[in-house]
Amino acid sequence: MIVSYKTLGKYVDLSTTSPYELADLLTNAGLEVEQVKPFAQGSDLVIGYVVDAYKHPNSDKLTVCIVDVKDETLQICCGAANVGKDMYVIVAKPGCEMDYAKVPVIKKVELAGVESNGMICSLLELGIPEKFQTQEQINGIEVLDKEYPIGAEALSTLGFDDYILDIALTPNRSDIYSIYALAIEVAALLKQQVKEIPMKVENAKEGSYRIKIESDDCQAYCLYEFNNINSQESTNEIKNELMALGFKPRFNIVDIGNIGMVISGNPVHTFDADKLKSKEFVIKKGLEIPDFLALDDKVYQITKDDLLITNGGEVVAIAGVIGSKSSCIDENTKNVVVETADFSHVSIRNTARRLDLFSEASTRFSKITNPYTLEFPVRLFMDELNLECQGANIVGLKQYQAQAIELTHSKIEKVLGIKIPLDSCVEILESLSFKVEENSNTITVYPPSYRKDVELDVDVIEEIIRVYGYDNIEATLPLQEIIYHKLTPLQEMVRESKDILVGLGLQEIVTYQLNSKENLDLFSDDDNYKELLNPISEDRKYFRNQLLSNMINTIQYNNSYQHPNLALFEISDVYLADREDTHLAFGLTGLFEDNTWLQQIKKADFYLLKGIIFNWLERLGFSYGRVLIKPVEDDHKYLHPTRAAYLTINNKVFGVFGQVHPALAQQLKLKETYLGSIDLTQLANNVGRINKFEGLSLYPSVSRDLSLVIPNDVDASQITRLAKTGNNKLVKDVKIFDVYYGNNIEENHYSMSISLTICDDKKTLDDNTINEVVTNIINVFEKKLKVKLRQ
Amino acid sequence: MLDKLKLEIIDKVNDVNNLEELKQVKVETLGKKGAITQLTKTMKDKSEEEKKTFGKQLHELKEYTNIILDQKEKFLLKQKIKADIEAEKIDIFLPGYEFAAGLYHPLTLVTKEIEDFFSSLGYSINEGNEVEEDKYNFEMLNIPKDHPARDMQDTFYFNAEELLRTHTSPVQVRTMENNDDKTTPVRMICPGKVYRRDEDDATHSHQFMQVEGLVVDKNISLADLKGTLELFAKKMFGDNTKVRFRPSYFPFTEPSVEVDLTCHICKGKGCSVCKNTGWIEILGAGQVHPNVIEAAGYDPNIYQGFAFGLGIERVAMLKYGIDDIRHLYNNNLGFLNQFNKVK
Ligand SMILES: [Zn+2]
Repeated sequence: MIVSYKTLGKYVDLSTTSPYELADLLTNAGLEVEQVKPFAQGSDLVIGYVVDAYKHPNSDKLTVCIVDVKDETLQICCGAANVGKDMYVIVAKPGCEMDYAKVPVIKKVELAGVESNGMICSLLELGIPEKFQTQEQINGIEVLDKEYPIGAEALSTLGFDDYILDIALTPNRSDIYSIYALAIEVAALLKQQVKEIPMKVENAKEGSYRIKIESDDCQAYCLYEFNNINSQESTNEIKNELMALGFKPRFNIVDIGNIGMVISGNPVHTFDADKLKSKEFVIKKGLEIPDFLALDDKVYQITKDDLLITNGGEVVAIAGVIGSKSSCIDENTKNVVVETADFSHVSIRNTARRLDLFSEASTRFSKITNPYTLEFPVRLFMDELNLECQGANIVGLKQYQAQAIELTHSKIEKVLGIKIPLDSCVEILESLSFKVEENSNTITVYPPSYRKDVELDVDVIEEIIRVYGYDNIEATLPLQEIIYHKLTPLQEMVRESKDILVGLGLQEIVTYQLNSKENLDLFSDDDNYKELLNPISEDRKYFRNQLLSNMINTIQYNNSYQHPNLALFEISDVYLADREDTHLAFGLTGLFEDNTWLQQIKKADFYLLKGIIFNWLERLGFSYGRVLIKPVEDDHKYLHPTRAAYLTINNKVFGVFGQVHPALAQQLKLKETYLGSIDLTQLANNVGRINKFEGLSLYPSVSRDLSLVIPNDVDASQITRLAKTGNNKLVKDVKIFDVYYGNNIEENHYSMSISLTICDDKKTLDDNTINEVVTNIINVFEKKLKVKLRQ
Repeated sequence: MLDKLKLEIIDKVNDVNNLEELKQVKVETLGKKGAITQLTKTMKDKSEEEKKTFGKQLHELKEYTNIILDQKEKFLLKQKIKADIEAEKIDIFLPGYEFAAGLYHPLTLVTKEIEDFFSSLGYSINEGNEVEEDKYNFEMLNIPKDHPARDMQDTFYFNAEELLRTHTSPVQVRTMENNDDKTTPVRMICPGKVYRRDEDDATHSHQFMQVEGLVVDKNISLADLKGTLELFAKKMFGDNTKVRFRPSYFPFTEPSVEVDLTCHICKGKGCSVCKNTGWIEILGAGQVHPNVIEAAGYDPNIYQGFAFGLGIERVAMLKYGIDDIRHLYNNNLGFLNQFNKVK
């Protein structure tokens, strides 16, 4: 919302409040001023008179001007084609600072051998936007329209000494789209009175039109006739005001209509009475017109949901949005009909959005208009152009009946936590044009018509504290019964997992939940991803069902930024058919630990990831044995079928990890990469076990090493399991300390060295018992797995 | 005779250069065949009188010898350690063992800090769904279908009823609604991902994180909100941080405020981060709108409270001086490995 400081100053005294002070005042009252800027810029600009002008001796493009600025006569070389003798112009003398000129500070210079003492300015150089200017103004200097006092300060003399405030309005304060409503607000904040102005069209006789409203989306429709208007350019004052308010000046009827809209907040539409075919207006919906020619010379498609103004069967306006070319006013218009109406905001907003036509008028209609002050802009129009209303046709114009809001003094204190004297409350509300009745323990408040946002007692309390000042609230802390809250098992698991994984040397990442079908397909069994109706792009159209697609995206992104060594994890919710589950993803590639003078390289591989996963699980209370692994299918979609495993607990799969399938790696141009995907929601359904203290063993343990020759189809889990089962209760631990695949082993066999830890909790072991245990193991190995001792 | 022996022993001990030699001297003096031991053997030939005096002298010599041998040994041991230290010198400037370095994502760091703060004040940590119903995201928060506030936040829709939540505020309603007993006081925060249909740029992200806060009871006031946020500001940005309320508008709070903190960079003097105002806008808050309390099943005539919504990225960016929100979601390792701890 653009506000002219000068326009506002017409209704409330700003003589002791600078534009910047005003901005602070409004911002602190909830009307956030995003920017304050001068309408035109330049220090010490003066009015000059071109006494003489002649061609520059050495340049075709320059004109040498002799300019009278009262105290002195300046020789200025000017590059504009439109400069000439006997003109009044705007002069920047040497030393002048200009933000929008090619040079920020004007200096005395020599141009092609001729001295130049300043600059003759264009409006662009003063910072006045191009959109308000004619082509001639844009190309040349500003030639003033009449005589002005020579040497006078230019900006104030020309009425350019205005400031523009840009206010970001919150949806509840659409009433501020009326500058008069803003003036009331400012007056309350400055403890002043707003200037009262007439808002009604009085004593108008019955007009000549008939109005039929056939849609509920129009609640009121009024037409006012004005004849014999002298259509002409607006005065400079009006033009400047319009530009400061962001409108391009056209001619008086349009210009004054616009000013009336900005001040009242209610848009008006003006028809050329002589172009109307009929005396009957019908407001209705339901027409479909493919080629409606509007006054902006563009063609729009009208659909049956658009609210229309028709005259003689012809559409003369899309209500609240734009008028027709055939009925619009122009520079030759003599007689007009001014429309003011109460349209449904929703209907206007939908049409404006569909047509992408958010004009100043449709924006106001879309947000808020005040049905009780519909005549306000018409009255401004009359008074400004000095017109008399020839006739008025009014349908549905309502008298405002304020709703009473009851408010107790104790409620104010209860909500705000501070005591505000009742007198102050009443004073504040009255300054905001609320009517207040004081009763013994309560006040009854009647908001003004434009404050539709004030409905409840808390709304009134906000008005009081907003003006009283939030800085006056003294901070306290809530006094409440203490309730103990504990984290859910999943919340705890997420927190602990992050701590453990970071501790193990993995980097946490956070990626987007939305991804493309193409990316998600790579790691999904089905393609039932949650699909957005209105995505920004195909790349972010689906809510992910797993985290691996983004993990791979992140690995690829980092590889392209010369980060080849990655050990990443992410924990996030994903969306699965009908629920959100929490997943954990791993991504490892390159080196986990680099070669140093002390250490060997540790590469990302299957066993590194397996080690990380089981270390993490162990610390969460899920030991190996409770969590088991099993091979993946031979045709696994994205993991290497012989280098990947499922994680299971109670025979249910809750995760998978392993190397990326070679075919996929090739397709994605990935180096050796390992991924893991774990369903934490499912894992958290199981309780991590806390080990109990088992006492210290009083008897020493012994260890025995065995070197085995094992058939290729026997795996490590079979060896360790077998060593611990049966009657080998004394075997506490089986550690694999070497695995060897090589030539000097029997064909189809490999060798493995294991270390057995043997201990009896009840007595010291003797050699016989130890040998018995070992022999027993060797025999079982041989019998069940055809595993032999290595010779 | 003994005096001579004593001098000999002193000389011998003085000449010793290492522990080996010292051991030799010990053998030569106190050993089985050592000089003193030999003299002890001559005792049996002496008279009772002589035995007494000689024996005493001999004992004294033995004691003395023991002492000087001991002293010498201590001295030599000290010297040996000194020599060993020199010989065992290593380069302490060579790097130590390197452990794989993993760090929390900065959004996790900030979220944890916020969660820990509010947990310590007895808040529960709640969670909602990212795929939310229109009803909870808007309607029950006092934002009906045609409310102009829906223009404030462009929404991703799945269908007419389901959307990506545009804020964590739906959890306000869900939390109260889930309490079977509608007299149970509420004291909760909810961190989570939220979505707006914005093009990503330096300051906008279609996905970002918020923390919602909600306290509802019989007498929870705006002053309580101020006190709570003052403590929070001190925890997050330092003890001298001050809080300022500015009037604002949210459909689900009334009164609504925008909350500013004194700029932690310039301490309120004005700098480029705070656009020379000395204040930084950090969150939106207010007293829960009676319509929301009622929609959630509580009696708005009895129960009231405050709610606030805080952008986690905004806090992270302020705390760590991050200039582009996209850094947080690109996960460039060069960016991520700069966040070693909360501070
Ligand atoms: Zn600052």
